[in-house]
Amino acid sequence: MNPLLEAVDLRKSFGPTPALDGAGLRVHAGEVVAVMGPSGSGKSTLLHCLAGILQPDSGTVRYRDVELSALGDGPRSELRRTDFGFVFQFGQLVPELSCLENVALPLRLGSVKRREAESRAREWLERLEVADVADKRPGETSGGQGQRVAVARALVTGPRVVFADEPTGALDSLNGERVMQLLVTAAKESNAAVVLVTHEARVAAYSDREVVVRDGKSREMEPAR
Amino acid sequence: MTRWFSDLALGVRLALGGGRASWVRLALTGAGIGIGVAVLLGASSLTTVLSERGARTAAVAAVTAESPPSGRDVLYEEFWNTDYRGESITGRFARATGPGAPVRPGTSRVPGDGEIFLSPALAELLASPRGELLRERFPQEVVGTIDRAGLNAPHDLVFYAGDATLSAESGNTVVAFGGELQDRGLDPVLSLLIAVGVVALLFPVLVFVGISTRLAGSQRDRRLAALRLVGAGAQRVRRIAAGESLLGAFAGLAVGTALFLFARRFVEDVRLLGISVFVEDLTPSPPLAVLIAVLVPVLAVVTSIVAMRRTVVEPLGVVRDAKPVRRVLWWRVVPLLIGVAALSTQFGAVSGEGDGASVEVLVGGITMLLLSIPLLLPWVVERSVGRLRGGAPSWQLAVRRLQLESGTAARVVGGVAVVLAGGIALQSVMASAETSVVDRPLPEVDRSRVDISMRHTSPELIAQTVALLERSVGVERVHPLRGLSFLRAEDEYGSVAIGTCDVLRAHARLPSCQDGDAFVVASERMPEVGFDTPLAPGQQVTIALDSEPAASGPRWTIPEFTRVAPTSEEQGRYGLMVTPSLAADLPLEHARTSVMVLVDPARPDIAEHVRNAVAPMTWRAYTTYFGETQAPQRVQEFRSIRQALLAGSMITLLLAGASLLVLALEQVRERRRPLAVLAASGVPKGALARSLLWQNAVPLMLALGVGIAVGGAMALLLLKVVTQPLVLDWAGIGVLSGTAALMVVVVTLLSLPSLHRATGALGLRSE
Repeated sequence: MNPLLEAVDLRKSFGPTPALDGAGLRVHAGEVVAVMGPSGSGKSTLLHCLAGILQPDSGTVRYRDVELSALGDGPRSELRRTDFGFVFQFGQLVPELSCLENVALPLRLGSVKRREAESRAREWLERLEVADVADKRPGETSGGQGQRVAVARALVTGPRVVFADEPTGALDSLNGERVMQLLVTAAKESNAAVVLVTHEARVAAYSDREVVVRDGKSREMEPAR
Repeated sequence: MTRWFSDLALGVRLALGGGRASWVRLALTGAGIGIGVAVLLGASSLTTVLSERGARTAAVAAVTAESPPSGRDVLYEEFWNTDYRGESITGRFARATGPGAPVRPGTSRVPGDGEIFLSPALAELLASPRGELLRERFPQEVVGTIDRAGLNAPHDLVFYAGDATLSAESGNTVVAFGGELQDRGLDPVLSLLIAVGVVALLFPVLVFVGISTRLAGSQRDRRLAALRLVGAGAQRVRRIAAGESLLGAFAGLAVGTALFLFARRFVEDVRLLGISVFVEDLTPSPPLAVLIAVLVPVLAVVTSIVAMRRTVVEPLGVVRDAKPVRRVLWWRVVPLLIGVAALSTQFGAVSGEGDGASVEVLVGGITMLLLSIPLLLPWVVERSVGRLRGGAPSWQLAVRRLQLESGTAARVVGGVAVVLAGGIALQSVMASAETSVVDRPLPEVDRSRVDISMRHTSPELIAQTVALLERSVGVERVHPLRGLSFLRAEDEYGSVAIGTCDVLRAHARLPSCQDGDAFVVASERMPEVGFDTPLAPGQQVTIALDSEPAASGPRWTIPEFTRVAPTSEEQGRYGLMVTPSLAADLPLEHARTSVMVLVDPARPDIAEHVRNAVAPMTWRAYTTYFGETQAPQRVQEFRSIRQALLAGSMITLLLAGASLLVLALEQVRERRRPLAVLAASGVPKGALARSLLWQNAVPLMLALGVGIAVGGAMALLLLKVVTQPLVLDWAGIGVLSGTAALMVVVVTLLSLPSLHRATGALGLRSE
């Protein structure tokens, strides 16, 4: 079976500092892949390259047999809006919009009517057990609630791949567990693949397999469970 | 198009949606832009002020006739002006020949004999204790107020009085009001400098408008990066950002308009450099108002889009931004070079006599030079602070912050540097141009002498005037002198003065004098005014009569005379002087009369007492007091414009200060969390306050350097354009630089309460 997303021999430097040095990764539809490694190993850079946010200096990233680096800014933006979803440690929600508006935002950017977009957003908030904060702004919610809103936003467009960069990094263990359960369950139900960057083994335990990044190079591990 | 509107609407939603923080940000942006808009609206009203004044001046211009038209009522009018403690009071005496006589605009009717209309300012002065001494000069019955139609400005001291003695011979015969506008025209150098001054003072305002739209720029970058992350394309993010900026710009337009309308209500109470303006006149010219309404939002949108160009490249702008791109110099010097080149093409184009300069090229050149300052400063600040090391913790904190992000600081002080450069250039050009007109000596001050020149007099009126003066307090001696003009050859006019030996002695140093003597007063500086060859006894001359062509007057023979020196080089009477018996065959009924009054200089308000003494003579007597010598009109114009430009520079600098404060407060607000963390980890608040001061002061010092350099260069180039020697106005530079430096200290002090709040425990709170 062809992978949904495939990165080969990626190299990326920030000034004189190399972040990726020949890293690679394959992600199949519906699977959860954990990218692990110590701080500064290049795992977030790998995720950003996979998502088309960063352009690698060399190497290729193919999504459904399309080379991402060959796409212009417009098609890559559209891909992020329709096929990809993102969950980060913090800061990805727009503080000026309510939680409901935040979740509806990707749909509205895709020209879905406001009423319909908000209705679908409300459903996702309910699925992620945060319907009560729909009208609050992100600044008025707890860390765990905010992350669940972010997961709802990542999944609302029905993405094929969800990129999650340390999604529980700012949460206590109880909240972290709950966010991971909801993320993985919702992704599985939608048949979405999840690329999960983490340095915590208990978070990585939710994945189907693990890839370790060290000094910019990646190495496949045995399935976690 | 629908998508455009929905993106703009989302931008507006983002600008408004952040609760209190968003409203504070919007208020600050509105205040920053609003101050600029208010100034722009004020400036755009100047054309209306001038055109309305011009229209009123034209409306009150009298249409006169040589002789009264038969069967038609006319008005006889005579102009008069008098001074009161340094202020000029002007007006007219009038007599209507019948009920159909034209009525002067601003008044309801022609005043009858002994009646007077007063301007509101003159009425107020006469009613106040300050005007006590003046009341004697206007004994008429006040029958009305001269309204706006008859005045130039609200503070004009103007009267319109009835006088039954006026006739066709003594006054102008007015058949109607409403003539052509007479444009006296300014000196070409002055006109050019005013044009340049307006550009130099208004350009910084646009810079501030641009800077204000970048308030909370990093927050917006993060917000827009988040939008990029969820799939908004670069174009869409630009449109959303444009929507955000538009809201700020419209808020600024609303605040600016409200500020302008509020300040406008008080404009009649303000008198700056003797100039006052009617509320109704201070109305923005419609095309300029539309231009402001369009320009401000466009400027806001363009500035914000240019500012966020890196965010568009990096959807996760906050994730990886290892080292900011080093600024490059080459394109930043392009406007500077264009400005220098533009001004260089105009060298020598403006001279005292002619004006061959292209105002467009000059204004364009100045604009380019001023534009180069906000472009060069970020590069200068980055390179300069990049080299700074060590120092106290407060210094280190400030320097490190500037090394990390110097753009905002450079932009903030950019506006100050632009004002400074414009001010320095203008002040230097004015100082240099003024030296050429001020070099001429001012009239000698003589507090013991008042001269009165009289018109349409008779021997009885002269005797009456002398009697009035002799009775007045502080008057020591009164010397009436009569005079006639004569024509010796074509265009060679001279004058003959007739007076007793006592009177003549007051004007010239006479070795001896008795009736029948004649003298020619001359000095080395003024040999014999108007003549190619000296006057000689026995020469035949023609007496010039006012009402007839000069050459048709009676002939007269120059008598034997003695050459003598004047009593005063500056104010002495020159020319031929004769005693009464030699004037027997002169047409004395056509003679002018002047009265020299010697007064006690120690007496307070002596000039006012003399003016009051001759007040019954009204328009027939003009007094000149040599104790209040005034600079010539051109010198006064230069001084007024120079003062106005300095005042304008100071106002713009204060505007810069207000913008600086708004931006400093926003900076503290935006950096609330790191500041709170620093305070929580033991950094004394004093050190944080000092670091704030250094953070403002270091870029400002660099801005002063750039401002002085560009301003000096601009002064040099402009002086070459107006062909004047280089005179740098160091006093002006000192005042403006000192004000700018003081402003930084004041701004830092005013932002301390905000810093105090930011470093409290609440500052540590996160989402």
